[in-house]
Amino acid sequence: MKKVRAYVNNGFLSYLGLFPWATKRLILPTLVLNPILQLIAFTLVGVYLGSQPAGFYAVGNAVHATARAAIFAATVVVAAERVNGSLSTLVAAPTSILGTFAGRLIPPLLTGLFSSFVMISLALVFTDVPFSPDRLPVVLLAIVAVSASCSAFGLALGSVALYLRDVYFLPNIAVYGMMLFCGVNLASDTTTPLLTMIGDVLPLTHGLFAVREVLAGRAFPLGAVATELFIGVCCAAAACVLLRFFERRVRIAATLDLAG
Amino acid sequence: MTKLRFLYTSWLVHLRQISTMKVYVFDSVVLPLIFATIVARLAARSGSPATITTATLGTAVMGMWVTTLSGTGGSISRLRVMGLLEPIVAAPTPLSWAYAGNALASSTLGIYSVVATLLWSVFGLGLDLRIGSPAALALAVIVMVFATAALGVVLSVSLVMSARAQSMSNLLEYPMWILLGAVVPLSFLPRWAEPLSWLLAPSWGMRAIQAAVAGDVARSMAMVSICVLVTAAYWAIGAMLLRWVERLAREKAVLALS
Repeated sequence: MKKVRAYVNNGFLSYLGLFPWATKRLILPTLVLNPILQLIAFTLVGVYLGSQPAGFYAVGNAVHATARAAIFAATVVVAAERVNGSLSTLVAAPTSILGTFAGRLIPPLLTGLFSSFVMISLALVFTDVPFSPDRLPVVLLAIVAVSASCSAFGLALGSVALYLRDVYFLPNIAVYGMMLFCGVNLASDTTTPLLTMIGDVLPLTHGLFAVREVLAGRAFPLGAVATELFIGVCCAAAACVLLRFFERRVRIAATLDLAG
Repeated sequence: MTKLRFLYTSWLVHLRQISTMKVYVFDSVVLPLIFATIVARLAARSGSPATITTATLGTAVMGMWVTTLSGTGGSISRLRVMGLLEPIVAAPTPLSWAYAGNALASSTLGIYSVVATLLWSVFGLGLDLRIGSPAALALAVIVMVFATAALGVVLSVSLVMSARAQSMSNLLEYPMWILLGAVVPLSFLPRWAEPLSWLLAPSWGMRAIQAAVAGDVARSMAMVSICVLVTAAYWAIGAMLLRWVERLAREKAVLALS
């Protein structure tokens, strides 16, 4: 318990130190305004070219904001520690690097959830998504499942970023690739079997499906949420293995502080 | 002549630098391909080759804009972190010329976006892209490079004063998507959007591209002419503003702050 508290405290303290842009003036534009602009842009594109109502694209991009926050969180930790010259100290410290990284994911996750919540509220107000307040807890549950699985995915990517010089390349591909594969903007009638197949094994797809189902007034798709969580568990297991592996690799190759 | 040689060298150095950085390769090649695939899948329903071609090219132009936005801001941040911003400001060559090379290099990288998106759309997605006048399209794309670079220079004014301005300028990525009419036509948007787009040099470049795709060479040339005029005004305003903030930044001693 003491250890968990230490990791959580470490996460919040490092958030203050590693996210220098998180000032009062910039935090709202970054966490709320930018995702809202993405939501507006893709909703317009979807309504103009696509087959679905505006709510489909608005909800998709709203939930995608959580995935973005979760995936970038682990990467930013590596990048910022590297720039500050403290990454090697972090890796050399006797504490578990997995615990340290996991603790550092908590604050960005909370901000990502906040961002997603604001955006879903906007989507509900400005588009045609029917919603009854009694469904709010299950919607939140599905979003938390998305957050959890995407954080685990982000952690796995973050561990690879330990070894790479350019840490942002991989998460960028993952975040924007999810817009293509996970049904954020493409409904089943506009996607292809290949894209669907890739999306099925990625986090976000099943959780987003669950959010849309609940908002549409259909039964809570327990199977989809369970699949989302299962993918999260698989990503977490992969993250554990990859963190160990790359931690050892960077020590051997002495590439920890190399930035590209 | 000396200034032109300086501009060329500055452009070449920045282009070599950013074309080896994966983040810009992502912005100029990978991101437009992802967006082009999304847009092409959505547009495929319309069955209209003109809509598919215009929408796909729109995503390529947005790749050019994203590269310019991140390239201009990113390089100023890098110069600041490396302690090179002060010597550049103190050098006898006007700051606007130094930034012009930087912004031009970023938007030149955007040409990759257009080429990569076209190749991907034709060979990867199997789209039937129909370009009415390829020559007019090539001219429109070249003018677009200067137009986006000019917008990048105007935006860099804020970056000289504040290191955090980049976070704010990043917010301009999606509004440009909308206001340039790159994927969604301006007629689809509220009425106020069109007059606002008249103020943006790249929106005239986008109109020229759309006319070239439709094969309307006369309209494309007219749009290119307007784009050139608005772009020239941008360069002049950018140079003037940069002279002003340069003096302000020296007075307030904020250049070295990161």
